Amino acid sequence: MANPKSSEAGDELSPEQQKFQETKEQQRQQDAAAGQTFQSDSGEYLTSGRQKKAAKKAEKKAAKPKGEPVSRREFLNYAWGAALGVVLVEAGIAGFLFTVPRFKAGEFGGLFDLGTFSSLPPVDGPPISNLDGKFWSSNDASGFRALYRVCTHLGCLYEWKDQTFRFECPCHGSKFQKTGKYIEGPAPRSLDQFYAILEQNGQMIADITEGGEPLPAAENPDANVIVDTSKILKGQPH
Amino acid sequence: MGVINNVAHEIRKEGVISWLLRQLDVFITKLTTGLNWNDLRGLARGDDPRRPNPRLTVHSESFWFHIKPSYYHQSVTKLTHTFRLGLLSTYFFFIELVTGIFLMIYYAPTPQRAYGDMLNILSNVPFGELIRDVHRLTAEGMVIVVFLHMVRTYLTGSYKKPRQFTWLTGVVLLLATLFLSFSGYLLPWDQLAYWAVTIGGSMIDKAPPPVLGKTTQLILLGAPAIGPAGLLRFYLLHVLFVPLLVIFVFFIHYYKVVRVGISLPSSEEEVGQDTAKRVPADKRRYYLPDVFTDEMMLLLLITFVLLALIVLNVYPGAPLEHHANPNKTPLHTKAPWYFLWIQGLLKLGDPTIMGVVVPTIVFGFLFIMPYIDFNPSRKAKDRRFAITAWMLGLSVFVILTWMGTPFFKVASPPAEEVVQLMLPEEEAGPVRETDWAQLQLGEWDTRVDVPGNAESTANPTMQGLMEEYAQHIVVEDVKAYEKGLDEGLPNGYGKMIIEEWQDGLKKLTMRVFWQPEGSDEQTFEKTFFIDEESGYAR
Repeated sequence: MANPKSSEAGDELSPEQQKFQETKEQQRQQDAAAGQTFQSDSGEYLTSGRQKKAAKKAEKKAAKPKGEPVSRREFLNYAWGAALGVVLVEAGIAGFLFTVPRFKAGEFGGLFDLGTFSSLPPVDGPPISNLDGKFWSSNDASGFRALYRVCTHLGCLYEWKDQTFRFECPCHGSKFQKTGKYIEGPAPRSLDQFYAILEQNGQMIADITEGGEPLPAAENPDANVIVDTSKILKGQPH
Repeated sequence: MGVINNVAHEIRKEGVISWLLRQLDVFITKLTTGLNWNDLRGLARGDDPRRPNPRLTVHSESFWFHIKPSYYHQSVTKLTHTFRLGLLSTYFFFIELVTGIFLMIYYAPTPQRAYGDMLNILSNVPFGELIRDVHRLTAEGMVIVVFLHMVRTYLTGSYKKPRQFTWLTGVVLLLATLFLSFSGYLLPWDQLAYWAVTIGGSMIDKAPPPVLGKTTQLILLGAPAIGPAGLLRFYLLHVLFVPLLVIFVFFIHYYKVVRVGISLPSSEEEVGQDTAKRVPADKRRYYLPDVFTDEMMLLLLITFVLLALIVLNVYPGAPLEHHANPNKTPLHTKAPWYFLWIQGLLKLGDPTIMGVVVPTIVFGFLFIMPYIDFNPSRKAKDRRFAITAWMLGLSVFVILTWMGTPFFKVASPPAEEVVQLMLPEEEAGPVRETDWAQLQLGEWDTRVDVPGNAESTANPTMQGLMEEYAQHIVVEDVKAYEKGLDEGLPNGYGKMIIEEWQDGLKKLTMRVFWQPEGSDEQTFEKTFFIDEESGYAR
């Protein structure tokens, strides 16, 4: 694959040119030994890195199947295919929204309006169980909490014991204070509670955040306590 | 280690990106059972396939494509030859399956819950009303499409040898479609449902001999009358038993279609010949990509039309009437429109003969029709008798359907008819369809409050309603006179009194007055309540 031009004109080369040709030839042999040959379009051997890179690119381009332009039929096929895809995606979204359940107030997963401070359990008395909402209304001097009825250990329902004035789990014996704080037993964290807010005249006065303070129900005796059983706040690990 | 070395060598040789692209192509080829990326692009472009043709591999390797033939005769793929009605029926059934399963999420088949569940789906569940409307509209569409499919098959004589059994399974599918539609009727547990199915159940009761009818009705309803047991049984038939039957029979039906081939237009064959399976190479139209594209395009279009009909309110939405009341049959209880012909028959005579024997003969005839048609020709000019008989049959069907409507032989007293036309006991009617805010408070009179009368204080909408009211009074008077009834509505006029009854609730009193010669003025009165949120006017 010698360059016909250079071989024809070989006799008239100056010594510098001859040397250049020799270097080139050396380079070519090295490349051939490495399994690579670099030639320009005119068949000249390329030596510099930049030239090689450009040639590689051109080679790649040529190797790719000639990118035929998108024909009208092809375009229309893609267009209606995309339309079909859009319909399917929309149906999927509608199906998803249809399937996700929504909860009315007063059923588990929805909101529970417990009324004002006067209808909450007494500050120094036992908590009150709300069966529909699956929580204990627990009220003390620090404020109000709605404790999720389920033990943080393995899902048993703990009970309130008046004699010991605390919650005790019948399965593995975890014990919790009235505020839900962990006392002893295998449970990994204090009791979980539901997100709840204090609402007065349609305005939110206070809410419970994860690890935050309970609702100051005693200070706002006219505000309604609303428990949202769709949001569980995890208890503090000990 | 060998594998990893090989992969590493390949990557080093061809570069990461091209290696990944090649792996993707291998994956696509596996997924499509034989088509690589370039083949797929060739499908979209309509290019000729490479050799050996990988598109045929798809038909032998893929489950879904093996059901379809790899090519058709070009004459049968024209839209106007079959209108692809079989495909449409199947697609509609598929829509029914999907939307039906979605509706089942929020529905329990007990009289205590069913109606409330419907209200929940309509008013509370996102897209609930849309999905119910699609389910209902597609159900009615499926009855039409299946009917048209059979009409096409009949008119092109395609039920003839060797396709008799295909037709027979088709009749089974027709009956199943009708029963699916009808059994779905009961599930909302509203007045419409309850009484339509009561009538259907009574018809079964009339099947001879009495023991058979009685037993069948007991098995179907689980009790002497429709109640919790009947609802549960209809539900199970609707969601499980009949759909399974349809799927089972469908595969028999479609296997026969593919096995025997779709009949060519009769003009392209000699009488008595059947060349559907011997397709010359130059007449072949391959399923991939041409027919496949046609089919998908059609289904997309139909989906779009169905949704447009609902969204643009051309289809008024699946009705939900009052809660089922076993102690009150609403005035003018109607069968679903595709059974009106039976209701028409029932008005003509003995329920055993008209309700059971005649329909059995009709469907029985459909079953055996291909086996007793000895005319070998499918050309229309040789089938004058068959086509005339079909046209006569269609006319009888249309007339019987009209006879099934309340316009035939169920006339109540004329004044009651007038009020029923304005404010039917079930369904919407013109007054309920009026915008609630436009129902103007006051006492309106058909003699005063008509368009163009300067004395009237009614708004234009009310004037329009009163004009309609006045027309019904005149028409019912004439009808009564034509029937020779004593009591027409001579000197008749009507009043509509609209009062604000509660916040968001209007009370409508409809009064019709008439005065026969030489006697006192007489009145008919009926009251209605219309809620602002009733949703009739949309």
